[in-house]
Amino acid sequence: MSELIFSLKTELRRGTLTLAVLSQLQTPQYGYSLAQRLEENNVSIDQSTLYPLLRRLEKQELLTSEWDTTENRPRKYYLLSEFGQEVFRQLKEEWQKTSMQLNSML
Amino acid sequence: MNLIETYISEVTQRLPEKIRDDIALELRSTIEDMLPNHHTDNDVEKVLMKLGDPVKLASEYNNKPRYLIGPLFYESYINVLIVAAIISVVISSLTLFVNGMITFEGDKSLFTLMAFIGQLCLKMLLTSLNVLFQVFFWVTIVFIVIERAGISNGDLYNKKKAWSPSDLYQLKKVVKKRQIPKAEVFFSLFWTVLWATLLFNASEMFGWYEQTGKGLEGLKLKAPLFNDDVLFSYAPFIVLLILIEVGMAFYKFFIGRWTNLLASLNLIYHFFSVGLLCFMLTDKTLYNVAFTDKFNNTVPNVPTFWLVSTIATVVAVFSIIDIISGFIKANKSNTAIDQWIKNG
Repeated sequence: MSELIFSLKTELRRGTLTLAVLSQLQTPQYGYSLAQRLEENNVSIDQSTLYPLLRRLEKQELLTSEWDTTENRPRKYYLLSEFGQEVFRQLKEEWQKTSMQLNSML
Repeated sequence: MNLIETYISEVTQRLPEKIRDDIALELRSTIEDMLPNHHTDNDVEKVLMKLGDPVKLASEYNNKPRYLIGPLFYESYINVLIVAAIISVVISSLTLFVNGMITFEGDKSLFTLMAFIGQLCLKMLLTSLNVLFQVFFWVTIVFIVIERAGISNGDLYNKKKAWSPSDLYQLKKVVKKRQIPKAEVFFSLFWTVLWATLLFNASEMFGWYEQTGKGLEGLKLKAPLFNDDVLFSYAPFIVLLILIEVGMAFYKFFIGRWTNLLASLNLIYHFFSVGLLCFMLTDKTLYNVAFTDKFNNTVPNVPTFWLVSTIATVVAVFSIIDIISGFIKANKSNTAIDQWIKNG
């Protein structure tokens, strides 16, 4: 029973994680800073999911990345690409529509 | 520090070469970000615990499908597998059987033939197993390639016409009574092969047997039932009959239910086969004189006319029953949809 609930919850959350990550990348962020920002906003995401997700989004050309080696420790910064901005806008609209519909039903 | 490097290499060794260094670098900087400035081994363990199983992390990075055949293709995979398996087993078995019958050497008394058929069945079973493995292997390989090649199922669907409820009217729900079991199809194919083989070898198998020694070997064919030359002059008609039977079997296999067309075909087939049978039965030149002499000497009271007409009548009655049942099955329309179509 609890296993079923867990898997249903994961399924429900899966799509929203992408939206949450995209929303926080209007400004350049590196892996750990992004994880912290999400945590501050009470978005629970496994770190082992977050970092591979960033790679995937980059591969899908929603994000661009750049290594910053000026500080004492090299960091990979991610930022929304133009395409990513557009995708984010549409996903946000979709989310707002869906949550409104669901809220009126629940 | 050592623990961190071990963790990173545990992850990266499972990744493609070209992204290894980049991911190692990012992982290292992330782990260091997560650690407090002056950290202990205990802190490192906590951080690594947060990142979780390196195998799982690597598979997330890889993002490769962790299945051979995905849900998009699974249905077509199973369908293709079943159809390919059935067809290849039937064809290979029939080929073996017919080939075995044609190449059969030695004295063709009914009993050595039985032993030969037993051997042949075993061979067919083993070949079928082999064929099944082959089919399974190759169909699976092809589907794995299709899955990996990234052909989207959308392309496949786009080529088909989009589904609409009007398709349902054409489909006409298959009523159970109209359905033709696959076993029946295979049995009829087997039957065709059997009678054709027996008939073409009839001059060496059917006839007057006499006991000339001891046991089965002593049983010798004294007088064959048929005259070979006359029998083979019927060959074109017999071949035509075989073709009709095989054609009907294939129709039954792929359409899977009785239709008016199939019932009509069945009618033609029965008329033709009964006609041919009557014609052959009454053809005096077909029978070997030596056989009829021996037969009349042994059972003088049975007129051959009576025997022939009995056989013909029995066959004709069964044919008529089959013809009628074909039409009845074809016109069974118990479903609401069928009624609806009839009423317009």
